[in-house]
Amino acid sequence: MSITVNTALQAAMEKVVNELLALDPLTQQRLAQFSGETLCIQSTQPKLTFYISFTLQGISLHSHHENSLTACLTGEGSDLLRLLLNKSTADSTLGEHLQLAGNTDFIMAVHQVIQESELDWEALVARLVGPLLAHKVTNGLRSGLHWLQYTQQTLQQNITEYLQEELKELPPRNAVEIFQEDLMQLQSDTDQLEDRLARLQKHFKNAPQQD
Amino acid sequence: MSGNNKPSDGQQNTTHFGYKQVNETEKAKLVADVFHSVAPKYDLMNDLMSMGIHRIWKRFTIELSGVRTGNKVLDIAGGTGDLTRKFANLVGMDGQVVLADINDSMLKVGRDRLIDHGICGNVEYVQADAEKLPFADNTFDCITIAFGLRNVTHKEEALKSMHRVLKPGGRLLILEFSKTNNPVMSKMYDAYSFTVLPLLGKLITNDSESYRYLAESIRMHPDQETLERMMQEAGFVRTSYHNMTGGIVALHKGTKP
Repeated sequence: MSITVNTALQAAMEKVVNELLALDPLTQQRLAQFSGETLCIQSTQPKLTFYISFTLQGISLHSHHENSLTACLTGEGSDLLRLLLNKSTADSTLGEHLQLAGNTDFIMAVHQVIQESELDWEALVARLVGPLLAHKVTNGLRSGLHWLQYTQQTLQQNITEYLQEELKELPPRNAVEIFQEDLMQLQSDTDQLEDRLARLQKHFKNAPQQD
Repeated sequence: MSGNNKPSDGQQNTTHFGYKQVNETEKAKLVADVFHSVAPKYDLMNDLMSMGIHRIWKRFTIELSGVRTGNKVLDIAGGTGDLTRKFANLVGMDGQVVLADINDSMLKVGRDRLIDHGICGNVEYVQADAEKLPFADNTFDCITIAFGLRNVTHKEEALKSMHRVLKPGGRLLILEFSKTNNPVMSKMYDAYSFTVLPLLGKLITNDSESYRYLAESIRMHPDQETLERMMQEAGFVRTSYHNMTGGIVALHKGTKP
């Protein structure tokens, strides 16, 4: 992406986020406590790195940063987006896909503020296009996102079932787990047998020879 | 390569003013006249001419400056103070930004605009010639010159002067129109520069000549490689440049060793 386009996108995103924060003074105030701190976000897929610096008024986004970083969050773009949009703290699978470096307490604190925030996207859109259209637009977006999420889940489930049940190309998860357990048991039994044989060998070696 | 011609016996030094050759002493006055004329509508014209993209170019310059709290920054040819405003926020009350411009009309517009935005306390205004900067050696952590170098008569002198007042490790950032290698874009850009710009100048400031000079001066400015070499000759190290918008504008960066 060209420097001009990249910088323009960042400027636009920064403006939108700061306008949203202005509509939610509590979140703005809570984020202001991180003023002077910088969070690096590294997306591995698509490959993209940007920095979020916290200020008293909101945030500033930039693609170059040469001063010290407070923390760095690395992961695939989709996982990073899920972290941002996910209101539930119970999504334990998310942590497996993301790497945290630096002051992790800071990342957790920022994440908590975002989770507890009530950013009013509809109010922001309403300022641009009026309340009626804004309601329709945001409702449409919400339905679209819900449909996308549902479609993704269904597609994933259907592909899994097709590969496992119809084509028999992949074993079902429980079969793999039972096989793994059997394998572990076999390994344990082999180890025990090996120990017993070693003890027997030692026993016969030490026993007095009879003519 | 500032475009200056050495005099033969009995002749004065000449330099370019747009496509014209003028006496060196005359250029400063002609450039000053251009900026006296455009100063009141400078911001509006910048937005119209660049379609707002100049803000993106300046934003990237700020990003690459690495300026932080407590730094001393010199914004040469700072004009109406776009960069100074951002730097003033970055350096905080522990730092200082000096907005310098050779043209008092531009400086007045810049000062009024910054004060209107509540920027005061850490900004100083200095009318200064970039070739003879009136500051002590090793004063600044960062120097920027945005869309100003092409108007300087002796660019080598200006670069040496900037090198002198920078602290060791300090960086110079030059944001300036440059050369695009894309032939299609080059043709479109020429057509835009020599037809639309003077027309806009005529409509907004009733001065098409100043904007014709702007277009001509851009063509006479050294290209990316030449300017980088000039920076190295002035003593800067770790020099590099970033082309923006297809090379229409380039941001050069260098560090004082």
